[in-house]
Amino acid sequence: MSVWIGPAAMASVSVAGLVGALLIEGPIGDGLGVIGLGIPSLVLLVFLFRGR
Amino acid sequence: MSGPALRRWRWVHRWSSIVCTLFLLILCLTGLPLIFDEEIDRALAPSTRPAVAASAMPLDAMVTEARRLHGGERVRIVIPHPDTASVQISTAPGADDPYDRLHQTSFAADGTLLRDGAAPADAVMGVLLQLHASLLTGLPGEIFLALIGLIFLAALVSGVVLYAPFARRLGFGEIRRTGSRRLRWLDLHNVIGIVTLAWAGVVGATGVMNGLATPLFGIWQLRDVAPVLAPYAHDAAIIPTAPLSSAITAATSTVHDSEVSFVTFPTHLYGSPDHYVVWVKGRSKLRAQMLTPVLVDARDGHVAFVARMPWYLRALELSRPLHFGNYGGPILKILWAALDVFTIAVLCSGLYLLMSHPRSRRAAGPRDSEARRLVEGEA
Repeated sequence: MSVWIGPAAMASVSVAGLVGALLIEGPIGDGLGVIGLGIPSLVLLVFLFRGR
Repeated sequence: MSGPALRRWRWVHRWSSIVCTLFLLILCLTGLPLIFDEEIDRALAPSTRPAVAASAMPLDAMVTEARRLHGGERVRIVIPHPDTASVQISTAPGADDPYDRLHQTSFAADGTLLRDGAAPADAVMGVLLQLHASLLTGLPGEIFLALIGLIFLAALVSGVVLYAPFARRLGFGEIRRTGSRRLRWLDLHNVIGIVTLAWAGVVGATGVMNGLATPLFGIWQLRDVAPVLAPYAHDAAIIPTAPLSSAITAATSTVHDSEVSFVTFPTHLYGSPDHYVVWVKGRSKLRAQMLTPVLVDARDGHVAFVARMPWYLRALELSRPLHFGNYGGPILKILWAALDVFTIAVLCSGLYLLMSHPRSRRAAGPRDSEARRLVEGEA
């Protein structure tokens, strides 16, 4: 099961951000969208940098 | 998972990827500039005008002026843009001429003429949009791309299944620095793919919905709208005598807490020959995605019919922002573009892995055998 912890966390953050940005008005909604896609993007950049 | 089951999933992943990769590359590349459609428009035609509500714009005078400018042509569509304090009016010689033959005229909110003709970026962005939505082939292309979207979802699901045996040997996000070049590409493919999985799944699923938009609207028109319009079907499309502004006021008063999105004038083409169709939307972020068409009598300006959208069209409308990424500000758009680029990397690495695939275990060298064991999950 531990294999799925990382992918599940990334997927949960992404979906919560995408839906939250659609449902919530104003800068809070926009911020949720940025967090939702920003965290996976940052994590990916770290992985790519580490594996360089 | 047993060896035969794993091989079946590998087969699904390989062939679903082979079928959809080229089309997905086209979609990712054309989608990239489309994410910034509004920004490109604003850069090419900058506006410093403050926002103005549609109700404060002299729409009736603009309609008269647009007809005068185009020799009495029929007005077909009026689109107020409160954010840029402008109005776009499309005209055509006939009321039923196809929508790709319209002449565009833009006015400022005070009624002064901004531009007679299409916006500078419209031609290029229009071609990109048509390439993205239908491969420039209309409805068959839309259906085909919806099918490609389904195959892409199959590639994602099979990729997730294959990820488990891969990840058992490596930590999350690990990219091996040693080993063959193929192994590094395999790690890259798996790491980028699994981190961007949710976004890719959402964009893929909503892309399938968007590909089915024309048939879904057709079903709704046949089932719900055609019976209402049947008494008018044989009428000639009239030139409205009721002012556009009063039709908009009547429509927005009928639908609670709404504002106008755009208006189509009397026509047989996706409209009514006797009515304005005033498309209104809600004012909140979520409800602004949902349109409601209100038929307003073009002779006397009274509301004739409010067409409620069925659930599948509401689902389609909600899928649009989740496909285009245009609902959360400029930073979200930049991240959307970054994930698009990451998806291109997954596609290219997948292509490399496919082309460098060892043909047989006997022909493969020791390092290729290692890659094969890892992909197949063999001990």
